[in-house]
Amino acid sequence: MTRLPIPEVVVAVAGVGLLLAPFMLGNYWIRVLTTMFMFAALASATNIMAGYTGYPAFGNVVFFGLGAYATGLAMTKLRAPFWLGVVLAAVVCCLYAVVIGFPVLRLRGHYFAIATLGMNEATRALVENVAFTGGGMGLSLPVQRGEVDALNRHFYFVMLGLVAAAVGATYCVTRTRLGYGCLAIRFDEDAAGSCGVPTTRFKVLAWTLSAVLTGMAGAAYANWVGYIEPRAVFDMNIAVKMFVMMLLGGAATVFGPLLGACLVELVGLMAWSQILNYHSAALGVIVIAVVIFVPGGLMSLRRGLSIRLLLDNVRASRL
Amino acid sequence: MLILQLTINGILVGGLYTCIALGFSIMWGVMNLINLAHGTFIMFGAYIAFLLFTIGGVDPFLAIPAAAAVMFAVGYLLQRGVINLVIRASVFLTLILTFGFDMLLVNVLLVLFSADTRSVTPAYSGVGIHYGGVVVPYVRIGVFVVAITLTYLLHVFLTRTKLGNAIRATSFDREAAEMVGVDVARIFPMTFGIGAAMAGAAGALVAITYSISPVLGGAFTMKAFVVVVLGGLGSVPGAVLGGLTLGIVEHLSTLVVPPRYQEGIGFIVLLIVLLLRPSGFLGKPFYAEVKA
Amino acid sequence: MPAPRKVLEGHNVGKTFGGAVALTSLDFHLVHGEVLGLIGPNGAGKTTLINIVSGYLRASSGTVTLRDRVISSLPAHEIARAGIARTFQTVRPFMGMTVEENVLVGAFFGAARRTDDRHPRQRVDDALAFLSLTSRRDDPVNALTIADRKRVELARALAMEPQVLLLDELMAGLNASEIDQTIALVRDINRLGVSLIIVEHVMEAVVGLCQRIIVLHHGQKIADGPARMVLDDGRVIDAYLGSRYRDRVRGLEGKP
Repeated sequence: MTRLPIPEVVVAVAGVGLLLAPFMLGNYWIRVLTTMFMFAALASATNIMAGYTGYPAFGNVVFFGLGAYATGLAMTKLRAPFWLGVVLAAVVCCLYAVVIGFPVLRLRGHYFAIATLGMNEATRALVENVAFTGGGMGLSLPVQRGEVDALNRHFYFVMLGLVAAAVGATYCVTRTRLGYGCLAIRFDEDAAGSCGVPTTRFKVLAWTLSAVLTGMAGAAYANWVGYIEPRAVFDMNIAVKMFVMMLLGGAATVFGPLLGACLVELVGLMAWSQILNYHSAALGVIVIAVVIFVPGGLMSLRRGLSIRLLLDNVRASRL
Repeated sequence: MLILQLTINGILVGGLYTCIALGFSIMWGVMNLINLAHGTFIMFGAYIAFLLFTIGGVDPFLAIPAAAAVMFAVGYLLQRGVINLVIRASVFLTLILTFGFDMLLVNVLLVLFSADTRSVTPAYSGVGIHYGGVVVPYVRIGVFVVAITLTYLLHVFLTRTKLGNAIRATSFDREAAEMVGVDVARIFPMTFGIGAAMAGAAGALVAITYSISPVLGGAFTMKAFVVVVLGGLGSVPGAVLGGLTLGIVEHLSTLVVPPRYQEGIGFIVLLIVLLLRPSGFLGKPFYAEVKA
Repeated sequence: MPAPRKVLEGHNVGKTFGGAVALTSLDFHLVHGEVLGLIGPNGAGKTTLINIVSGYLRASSGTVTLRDRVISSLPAHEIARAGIARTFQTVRPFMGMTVEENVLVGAFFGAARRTDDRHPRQRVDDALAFLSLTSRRDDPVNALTIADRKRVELARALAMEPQVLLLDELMAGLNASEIDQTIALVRDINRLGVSLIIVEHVMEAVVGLCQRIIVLHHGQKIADGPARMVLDDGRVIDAYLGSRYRDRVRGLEGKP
């Protein structure tokens, strides 16, 4: 179902390049790439649930926040090492997705999207108002030991590993029964059931996978940034970015979210420096343009870009 | 006595909630469009009232028609120009689109007004009815009365006018409506315009009730959600029930949980309703099965 | 001769939607290897019965058993894995997929009890060949005609290796020659050993394929027996077929 769209040689060269990059670039660019990788991982995770399974988990950022706080609390209260914090983040997100998944996944379409939004907001409100988590004042993680350059490289590789895991997981899913089942659910859930697809189980599985990947990204983020607060990690702006990157790159494709993340981050970089005040507006305009002209994302342009294609896209969705 | 005060506060703010939710509800019910920029439309209306008040000394209640008119134009053009292009797209595309608009509109407001909070405080703000330990500010009563009146006017419009009935028919079954001669391509911009106008009017009321800032729109969008889900999609009486219920629950809940959880209460209510009865009090069950 | 095995049985099956009664105390059975016709006016409850057997809907009362295993309480996908496949009245293949991918879903998730150990891909190839879709395997389904989409749906169902196949108005919308081809196709499927229940309005198919017929009217069974007998039954003619049909059939058969 998915063949690599580019020759293996190119991938290998790019891979080596990515591995060597942090030793050759300055700290600024290392941080840029690290952020890009994080968002690529997030967009890929979203893709598994929203792109392949067709369930628009708009509030999936809740797992980002949960992962961040799970790690943060583990490292501050339990003096746990980083890797254990990540594992804990994965476990917490897994449980959350499974427990809340069964009732919430009975909803479809808009209602499911709203429910996940509500989940995010409710969880944020909870974390904000409980003293244990530091409340609205946020949580500071233990300071990382080591010199700046080495730390930057460390997190670069952590995020690189995450995006590799996310893309890899997506690739594996597409090759297995789970992938076909999820697509069937997306295209026609009832018909899928009558073909023998265990819809509830697969939906929960897909969401759990998505949640765990998102949570691990949150854990890495918390450690990288060193300080988290509810409004920053349960942030709908992150949620929107995840979705936009997935859509821009191409939902239900393996590499689409990666492409989308790179593009949005690079554009954001340029916009940030030129038009500081209009950062949100610029992102908003990009979103609007993507939705209208390229709803299939960049991956859908593989067969060629033309004005004709853009106009066809508009015509297909209009009233 | 405290319970009485809280209940009255709840009812009064519930009326405002109803008004806030109406525009959102008709956009969703008729066009299957969840407008994440709704809260910011409300903020636009609020700022229009604010401008008229600070520059022209116009009483905010009188600013309502102006806010409504301006937002109607904005909504109509927006729908005609842009949203019409993606109306058949999937759920998250339309969600993302309206969120994109929200980002754009919030940015515009931030540039124009900065993030500082503003208030609209007419001369009669502090005065109210005092009766047996219960205080009811005149402003709140005014807001409630206006909100309910606007709700009633919308209801009359939807049920007694030709255009209104055409809109309702489209919300029940778009294809059937087309087959009996409703020009759906004209209905959608009208509906969006009316929804935006309601948001604008609600915005003027919001300016009287709360301090406003460009970034507060999201909270109102969420409130609109809860009200619509509670009361049922596509039902004006449902919105009334939903709004009043939310207002009362929010205020009475302060008896058992600290006030800072009030925001969270709304979401908990939302989640409970979605899981137990997605169609709400008076809504139609089939709306719960929207194809993505 | 041993008594014919019943592969599917329903006892006292009833279904109400809110206040409306769709099915009342229905008893039915399907014999192994037979083709059972399910006919009646629109709204009689035919699709409702199919939906209940396949698990798309839950019965309000009564039970359905598949070879002594009660399936009426199982979710749809379990029933599918137990060996029941179906097609839909409004053709529902997976629109975003190719022909082959559609059939793959059936192969991957179909009956748990396999009659052989063919690899899923092999089952897909066989199903495609059976439906003459091999050359079209990479075509996206949304580019196909309705008739071809029906073949895809059938191929998907066959790839599931069902014991029982439920066909809901398969002939609807087909022209005369397509109907003839499809009748032959269903006969071939039956010869593979699949027992069938077909819901049909196209009487030519019913007469050509069914050994037995059940007639539903207002949610109740008004006839159940060998095809010839049922089609001649006065009540059935009054309720559904019409006397002109009876006369035409008799005329064709040379009866007075």
